[in-house]
This record gives sequence, structure tokens and C-alpha cells, in this order.
Amino acid sequence: MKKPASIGHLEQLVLTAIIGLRDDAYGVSIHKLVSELSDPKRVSLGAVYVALDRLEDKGMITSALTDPTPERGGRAKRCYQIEALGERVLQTSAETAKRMWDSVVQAWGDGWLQHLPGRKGLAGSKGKPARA
Amino acid sequence: MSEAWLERAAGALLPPSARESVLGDFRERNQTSTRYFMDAARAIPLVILSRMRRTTDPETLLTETLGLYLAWCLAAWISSDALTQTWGLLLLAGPAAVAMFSMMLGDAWTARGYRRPAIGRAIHGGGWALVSQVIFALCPVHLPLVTVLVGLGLSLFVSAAVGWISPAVPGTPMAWEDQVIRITEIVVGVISLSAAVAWVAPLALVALA
Repeated sequence: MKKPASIGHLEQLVLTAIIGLRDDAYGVSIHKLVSELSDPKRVSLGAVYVALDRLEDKGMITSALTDPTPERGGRAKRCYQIEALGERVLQTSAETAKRMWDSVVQAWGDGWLQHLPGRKGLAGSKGKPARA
Repeated sequence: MSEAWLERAAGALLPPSARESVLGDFRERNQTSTRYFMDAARAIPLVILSRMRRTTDPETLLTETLGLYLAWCLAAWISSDALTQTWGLLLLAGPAAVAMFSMMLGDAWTARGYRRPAIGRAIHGGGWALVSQVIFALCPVHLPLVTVLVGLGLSLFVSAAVGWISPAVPGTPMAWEDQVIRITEIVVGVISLSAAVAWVAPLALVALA
């Protein structure tokens, strides 16, 4: 039986960034969006390149060079597009994350959500946040 | 350090397939030379490693590594007592590892799907293995010259043979033209080259001595 395609956490973030950026998904823009998504955890540009290569090898994304631009010193961009397999895998990951989210809300209640915007409240309290 | 110089240096270190887009990304992200340098120093090793992963077939890598190590062990067995010496097995792993790594690095610089000529690739690996042994010769513990020469000959044969039987892209069968070229290579080049290095050179050394 063929093993279903799977991706890691960083690859999920990169696929999400590619979907969000649509036609402007290239190294710098993807790294910027991935950094925002993974905040406060830092992600290096090199790690994003590695994840993009892996996703391309798995057939989840494709890439093509664009025309050179002056702000890049006359260098071309490598733009990425998500493929059907990538969309399917990301959808599966999102469904898993949704189920996890629902379970956490069910276990801890809605009260802990108020800690989310600053995040310091959650990071500061080592144990489980108080139930609402 | 000027930015143009930094860009040239970064361009020389990056594999050609990634050079254009990665250099453009560096330029777009960084306004100062220091930031450019820091960005390049962190990203380039990962780009190279990722490229090496993409151009290396795990099964071929395992076969070739094992073949090269056995070739050096065989060379030690027929030409000297290096196998039974202290650190002998470790010393024999040195040139095999250097040859393997240099060939993987060379593969990363080739276009995807294109395969370097088997002999050229084998000579590239053998050349770096020889360089490593020249450097090791300055150390108190090193392999005898005869073992190095026989080992080089046998490892050239192994590398070229593995390069010949392995596909250019994993899982892709070779076209018949490629097969003809590989057969010609292995018959004409590999045997004569490995025989020359493995047998004629040590005999010449013995005759000179």
C-alpha cells in the first residue's frame, strides 16, 4: 500500500505562505511570511530554501524563474506555485490542526484564548492555564 | 569589503542551479555589506547541502561508499600491512570519505538530470583523495605510498563502475546512447587507467628503488 504523502511543520508553514502570497511567492517573500507565521520562533532563510527544495522534490510545488529586476541587482526571482498534491496535503494538515485546536479548547475552555495576542501570558505560565 | 566582491564570492560558492535566485534574494534583503555577509554565511551551507541531497541517490551513495572503502582495504591487503596497523582501518577510511564527499560536491554543481562522465567524476574523487594523502603524508601516521597508488587505481575503477551502472536521475532508465557511451568508457578508459595507476606505478617505483 502506498504511504500517504506527509510534510513537517516548516513545510506546512512554507506551503501556507505560498498559498497566501499567490503569484508573488519567492524566497524573500516566503521567508518573511513564514517568519510571521512561526513567531516567536525564528526561521532562517537557508531553512526555507531547504524546505522549498524538499517540497519541489515531493511534487507539491513547482518553480520558475521570472524576469530580472533592478532592485535585485538584475537577478531573476524563482517563483513558486502550489500543485494539487501540495493542496491536498496542506488540507489534511489543516484538518489535523483544526481537530487539535478543538480538543484544546474543549479541554482548557475559551479562557486561555485571551492570553494569545501577547503570548507572554502563555509562555510565562509553565503549567496549564486556568480554566475559564 | 565591497558588496560587489561579496556577491562574487557568494556566487562562486553557490551551485549554478540556485545562484541566480539566491543572489537576487540576498541583494533584495540586505542593504549593508555586513548584513549581506551574515545572511550569506548562514544560508549558503544549507543551499549546498540541500543541493547535495537532491543530486545524491541514497542507494548509489551507500554502494559507492562501501565499494570505495573495500577498494582501499583491498589495496592495503595486497600491498602493505596497513590493515593490521594501529588506526589502519581508520586511515583507509580517510581517502574513501574524501573521494566520496568531493564527488557528491561535484554532482551538486551539475545541472539536474545531467550526469557527469563516469571517468571524469572518478578522477575528480581520486584527485582529492590523493591530495588528502599528500597532506596526511606530513603526519606521523600515514598510509604507505604503494598502498595509496594501488588504492587510487582500485577506487577509480569502483567509482567509474558505480557511475556507469547508476541512473542519472534516480528511478529513470538510461537512453541507449548513454549506455553505449558508458560501455565505451568502462571498456577503454577505466580498465586501462586503473591498471596503469594500480600496477604500473608501483612496479615503476619498485624498479626505481
